[in-house]
Amino acid sequence: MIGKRIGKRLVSMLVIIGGVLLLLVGSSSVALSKKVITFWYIEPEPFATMIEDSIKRFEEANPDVDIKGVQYPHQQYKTKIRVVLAAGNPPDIWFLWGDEGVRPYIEAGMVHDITDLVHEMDAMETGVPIYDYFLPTAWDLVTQKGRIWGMPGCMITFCVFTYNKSLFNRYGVTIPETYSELKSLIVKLQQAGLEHPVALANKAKWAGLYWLAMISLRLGGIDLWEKVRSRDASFTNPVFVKTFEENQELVRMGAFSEGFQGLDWDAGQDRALMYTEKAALALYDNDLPDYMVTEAGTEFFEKVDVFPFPRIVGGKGDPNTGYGTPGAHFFHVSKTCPYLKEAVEFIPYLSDRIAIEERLRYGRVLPVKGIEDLLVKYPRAANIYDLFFGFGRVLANLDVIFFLPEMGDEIMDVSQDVLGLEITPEEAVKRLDEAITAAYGPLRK
Amino acid sequence: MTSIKRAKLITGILFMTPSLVIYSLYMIIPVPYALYLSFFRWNGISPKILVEISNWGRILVDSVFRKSLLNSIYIGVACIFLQVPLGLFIALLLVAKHLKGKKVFQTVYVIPLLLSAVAVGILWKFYLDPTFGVVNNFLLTVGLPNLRRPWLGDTSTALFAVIVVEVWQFAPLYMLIFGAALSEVPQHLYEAAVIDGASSLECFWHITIPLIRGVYITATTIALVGSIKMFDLVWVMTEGGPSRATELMATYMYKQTFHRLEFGYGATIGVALFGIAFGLGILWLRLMKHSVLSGQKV
Amino acid sequence: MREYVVRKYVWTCSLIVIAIVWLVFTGYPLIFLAQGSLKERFFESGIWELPKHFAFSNYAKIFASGLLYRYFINSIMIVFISVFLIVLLSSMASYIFTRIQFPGKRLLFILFVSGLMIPIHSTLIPVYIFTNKIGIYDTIWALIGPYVAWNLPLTIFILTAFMQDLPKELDDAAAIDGCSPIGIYWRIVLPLCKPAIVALTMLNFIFCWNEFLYALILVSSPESRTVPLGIYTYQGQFWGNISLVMTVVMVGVLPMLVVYAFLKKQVIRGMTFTGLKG
Repeated sequence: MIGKRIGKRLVSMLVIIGGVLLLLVGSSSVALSKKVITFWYIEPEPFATMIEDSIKRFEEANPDVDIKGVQYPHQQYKTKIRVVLAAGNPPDIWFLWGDEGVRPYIEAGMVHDITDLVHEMDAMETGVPIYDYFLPTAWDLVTQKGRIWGMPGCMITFCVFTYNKSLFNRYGVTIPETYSELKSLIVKLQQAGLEHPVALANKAKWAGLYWLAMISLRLGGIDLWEKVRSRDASFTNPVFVKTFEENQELVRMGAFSEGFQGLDWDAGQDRALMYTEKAALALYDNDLPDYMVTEAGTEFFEKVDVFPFPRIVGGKGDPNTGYGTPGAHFFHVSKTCPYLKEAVEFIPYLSDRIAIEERLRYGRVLPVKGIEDLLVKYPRAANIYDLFFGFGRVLANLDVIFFLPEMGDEIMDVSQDVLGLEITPEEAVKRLDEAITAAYGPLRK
Repeated sequence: MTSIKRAKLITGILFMTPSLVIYSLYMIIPVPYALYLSFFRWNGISPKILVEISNWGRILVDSVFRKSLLNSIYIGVACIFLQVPLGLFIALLLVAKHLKGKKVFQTVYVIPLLLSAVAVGILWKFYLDPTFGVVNNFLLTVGLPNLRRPWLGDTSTALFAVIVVEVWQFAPLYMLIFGAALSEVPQHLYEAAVIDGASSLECFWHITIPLIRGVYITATTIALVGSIKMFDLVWVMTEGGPSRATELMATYMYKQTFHRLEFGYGATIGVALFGIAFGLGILWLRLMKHSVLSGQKV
Repeated sequence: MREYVVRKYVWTCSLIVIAIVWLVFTGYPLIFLAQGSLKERFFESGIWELPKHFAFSNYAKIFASGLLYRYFINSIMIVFISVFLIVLLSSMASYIFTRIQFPGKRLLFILFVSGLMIPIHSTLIPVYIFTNKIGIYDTIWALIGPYVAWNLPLTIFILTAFMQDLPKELDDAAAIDGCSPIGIYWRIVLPLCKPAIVALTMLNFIFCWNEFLYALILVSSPESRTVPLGIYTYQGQFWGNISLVMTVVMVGVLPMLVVYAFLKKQVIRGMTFTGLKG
């Protein structure tokens, strides 16, 4: 026994020595002459590999720069980025979702103004300035006060229904044109044995938000949301009350997955219901089918397609409004980064020709100009491209883009409470009004 | 100063300093820092805004905080009155004379303790899945389909589910603690009592209970204090939801800080949490009339 | 006599039944985990069925995907160093608490023990800032400080109680023989604490190995990650592939199970000392 303890101490000593040696060895292998840029992202496989490939291509063209890319899971990224930003020591390149979500950081002067650089510098070897490489709408969410603060680099996303074609055929239902047709569709599926035909995983609260956003958009249009934000309108507007009523009606109908408030989207607990054909449709972003390939195989993937949220008869909103973003992740360069030019030169590589094509294969469209020739090869991606740019206007995501973080968080809380039938629609809009007054000021007369 | 005294002084300083230094850097400093932050409004980015005691005023009327405090206390109470006694019960089970295969049972019983909270949370998240999880399918198979619930999705069952998982992971700890305590009880006391005609129950009540009292108190104190600051397990399983059914002080603090970007208010909750845990710990010990440092009854 | 035998039989049976019930309650989730990790796709077969084919490829995928070995090495180094320091520093501090009188001793003790009550998130930002300032961010050294500091309270608490009960006569005898306080510590007290030390080493090993939050905040590059962090990252990469997530959890749990299998006795002793004294 004594021997064991001494042995343990000995081992510990050796380990300490070994650790020190390792450190020394490790640090000397880093070429000190290279410029190192740290870069954080959250995209999982297979996109993580694509990003690493983009990094490699950039480093080949710029051998004096070393990009250290680190992938984080979604939830961990959100925590960590806030801690490092609060401590004033963020990575050189990081992302948020643009617009209001990133405004506090821009106003605090934590990111570089890259307006001039994107107009002057060319994107890779294309001979086209970075600004013109991307579609004009792609810059909207990172333009504030006329200056550009970030760059797109992920994908176009917008809200659509993902549905199982073969199930629809089997039960004789077709794509609904109106919201009431949607409800009848749900009832019909229920009668055919699918107790909870709509897959929903609302543990993280943002999933249920799609139902709030789409119904309110059809009833009141994007103008109403913008007016609420600019404090020219209030949440007590009947549109919002009706939206919450409709949400609760769907819940009472049993449209959503069993126990949806506790299902985890990240773990795919609701997607599993679609794979086992207990659910026939789900309202999420257009990239939902992408996950299905890796999770359920191409056989299932073939059965799946998308359709847009139907119009609501009598609604004031333009039925051709979308809910999403032209770039999803927008990358910013920290003020603490010593290599601004190199960083700005790197980011477009995430959307270079090779990266674009690889993503198109998975149905992800990058907001880059002039990719029609590539789109022809990938009909699914082309469909997404057409759908998005066929929208009249697009409302940005309510939880992380359209509003400041604290407001976005409250909307999610309220939405979850509404869907849990914990509060009435009237109470819900009252809470929202209080929150938005706290975040954006009082209602304008 | 005598040389002995000097030697003691030097030893004292030498031995105490390293612990004190590391402890101060990582543990002591953050608490006053949190207190300091609690007087500000800060989103982690812009300069801090001094708001004096308004955070503290806010926490007093915050209904969500009250709910989280209540939930934390529920869990604390469940730990004291469920986890610890259950541990004791299993320990007693394992020392029962007529039980075979004790070693096997004990080995398996201990395994949940070795898992990290994150692993346990992930495991049980799937275990409790309303459609694919074992619990509901089991109820279906044995003919009790009406008992099935969306355990983590229903506000009326979520906290209960979390408590069950917590018990699953930590009851074995108390089982081991009491197991060791029980083995220290001198056998001859039981033998003497049996000779005097005492029944098993009387033996238990008058010999076992008094002799493991100290251990029981320590165990419940640790359980209470630990459960008040619980975070990992709940976060992975429910994130404090749905609709704050499982909101604990620690999860509420996390959300206020990192989701609402209210670092100042989050710090306030943190200080309150610390204060409450501390206060409850001392209160509980006082209640049990037990002195920590001297290890005897006061 | 008959009646006694029957009663004993009934009693034994009930004991076994209860023990089995708890066994199932404790153990079935683990079986579920193992079962799930071996499925190709989580929902391909019913809950009670075995996987269609045992998908060891899941495990192959995890072990093949890169830096798992590095994570293990990092974790081992960090945990070994941390645990060594915790035990050493705690024993030194406990020795002072139990052998030497000084004013404010009680207060200092309470100061240490109250560390048990600090919520970890309150410390995140200050620790992050500090770690950065002294330039060890994103190295394994960053984690050693917090791990040691966090486990000092409980370890000191327990060791103090244990040392308290050691007979002081040996100390006095050694002192008369001219032994310095340090000598007493090293030659008398410490060896007597062996069981507690072995036990606490195990306990701290488990705490440090499974720690996640500090690892997340203080480390970022893959080369410096620990095993729990690595697992969480894998989980983040494989998202909805439930079987793969379960495989990842299994892989993360395996080291602890292996250590437990080898050192069963010590582990159990480690757990019991948490409450025995005091």
